[in-house]
Amino acid sequence: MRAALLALALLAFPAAGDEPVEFTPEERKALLALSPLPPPPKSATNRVAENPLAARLGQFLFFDTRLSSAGDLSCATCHDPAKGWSDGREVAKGKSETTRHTQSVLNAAYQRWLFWDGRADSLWAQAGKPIEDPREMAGSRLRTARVVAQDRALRKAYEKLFGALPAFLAQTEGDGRPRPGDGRPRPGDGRPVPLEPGHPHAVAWAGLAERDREAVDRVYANVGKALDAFQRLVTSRPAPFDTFVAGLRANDAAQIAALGASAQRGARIFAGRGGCTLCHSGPLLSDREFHNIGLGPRSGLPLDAGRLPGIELVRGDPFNGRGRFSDDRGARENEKLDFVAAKPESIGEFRTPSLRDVARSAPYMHDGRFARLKDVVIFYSTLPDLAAVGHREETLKRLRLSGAEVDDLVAFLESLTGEDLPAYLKSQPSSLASP
Amino acid sequence: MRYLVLAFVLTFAILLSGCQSASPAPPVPAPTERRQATGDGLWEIVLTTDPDPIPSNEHFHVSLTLVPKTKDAGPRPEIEAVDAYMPDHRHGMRTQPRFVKGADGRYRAEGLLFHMSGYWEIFVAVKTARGQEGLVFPVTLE
Ligand SMILES: [Cu+2]
Repeated sequence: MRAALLALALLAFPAAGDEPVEFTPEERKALLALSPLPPPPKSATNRVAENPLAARLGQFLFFDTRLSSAGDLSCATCHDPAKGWSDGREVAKGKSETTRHTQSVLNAAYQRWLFWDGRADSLWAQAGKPIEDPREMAGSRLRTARVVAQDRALRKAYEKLFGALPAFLAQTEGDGRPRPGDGRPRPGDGRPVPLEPGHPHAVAWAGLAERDREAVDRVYANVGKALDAFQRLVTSRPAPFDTFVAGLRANDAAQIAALGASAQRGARIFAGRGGCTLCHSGPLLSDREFHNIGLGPRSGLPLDAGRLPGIELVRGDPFNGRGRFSDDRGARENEKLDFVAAKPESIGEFRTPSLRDVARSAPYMHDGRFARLKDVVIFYSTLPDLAAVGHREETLKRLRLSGAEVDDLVAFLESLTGEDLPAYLKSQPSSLASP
Repeated sequence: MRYLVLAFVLTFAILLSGCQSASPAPPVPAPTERRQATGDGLWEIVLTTDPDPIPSNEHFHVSLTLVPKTKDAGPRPEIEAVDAYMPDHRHGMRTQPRFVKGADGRYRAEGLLFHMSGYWEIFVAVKTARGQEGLVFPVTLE
């Protein structure tokens, strides 16, 4: 009875600031463009991108610490499903600390370029980089290929998808350290280290015949393709914001009410006078491109030129879509490699993050400098810094938001949190048999 | 009632098609042609895009044709470059278009990409008998 009275009172006197939000036709149109999220785009350069067996193999490897040099780190160490597929840290730390924040794996399959600087053009090309980075997993393509070749279940799954593995990989040429469990030596590392020809990994790599090096590169690309197939499943599920947009589309008041008044006001600022959708556009809430938003220098971190070196790296990457490991070198999607260009404004640019599920993966920005979404919104409201590198893009204007408007935008960003992913995607599968 | 309306619409459609031509083929939408004249008024650049209309945040290509405005328009100008900017935001594209010169005053620029909605200008650098000039084709991307 008391509850009924309260409900009646609420009906009669809506709390101040909770009046229904009216949207102009322009705001409504801008909001409709942000939902729903379609499936990720196809990948012509990865023949197994949509193959469930490949996804299963990729998922197994995503959680497999044997790919790291010390056997203690996997992709999931930094891309932890419980932390929004990121790590909760300001900057990533694998074997040692890096200089950039770990991006979430969620929705990576929608991106045109991978990494903060876009130095990879596909998820399968991307996958090989952290495995070999000495600060991340510190492993190598040779170790990866041997781990796959010397584990009976992995080998079977791999060969079913990609054909026979070269015989020499089955020989255990370990680093002499006993493997936990059966005490056999763990496979050693080998990879190109162009700047350090004397590095033990480089020496091991140079010790292989050219034909064998190419065979290892091919296995490594295929492992990347399996990891790609898995990560294509790691996408945002519908969020309250999507219900709200469906309600706007169908003029359904109950669905519109999926967002509270504060989040609705935030949505109006986001898609309206805030201009946020200039870059956070489309259902991904990212333009998949790069911008210099003018963040100031950060003590303890080097100046970071971002996209500028990334362009040269991706064009020169032997694992890119035009390279010999691509399943369709002439694919239309590879045109992006021909047309992308370094320009003065590329200096200090970083990729626009998707905002779907953004509340799950604090802290924020390429160097993780902001602990809360509120700090991010206040940054765009005040633009306090001078760009550490290059120039702030002039698209950005101080939003000069009130405290209440900041809270509204944060409420909107939190309404982008989708349903939980199914549990089976969040851990290593118990077997490699197809699901 | 519904049949009455249908009959009316059909009759009207038949009358209408009779007025135009006997061809039953559906009309092919004409390409969007954007035109700008050179400073001396002697030549016009006709710009079309593929796809048409210009897609948002996807690659597109531009075709340019030089057309004389008068019988004695003089030597045909040369198109030397194509680029695009958002003047209000003071930035350009993330891509560098590939510029291809064809025969008979036809050109093609491949790989433009408008990554942001709003007001863009496609800039075409032309060399005429009088010197170099830039022609601007305004485009508003929804
Ligand atoms: Cu702009």
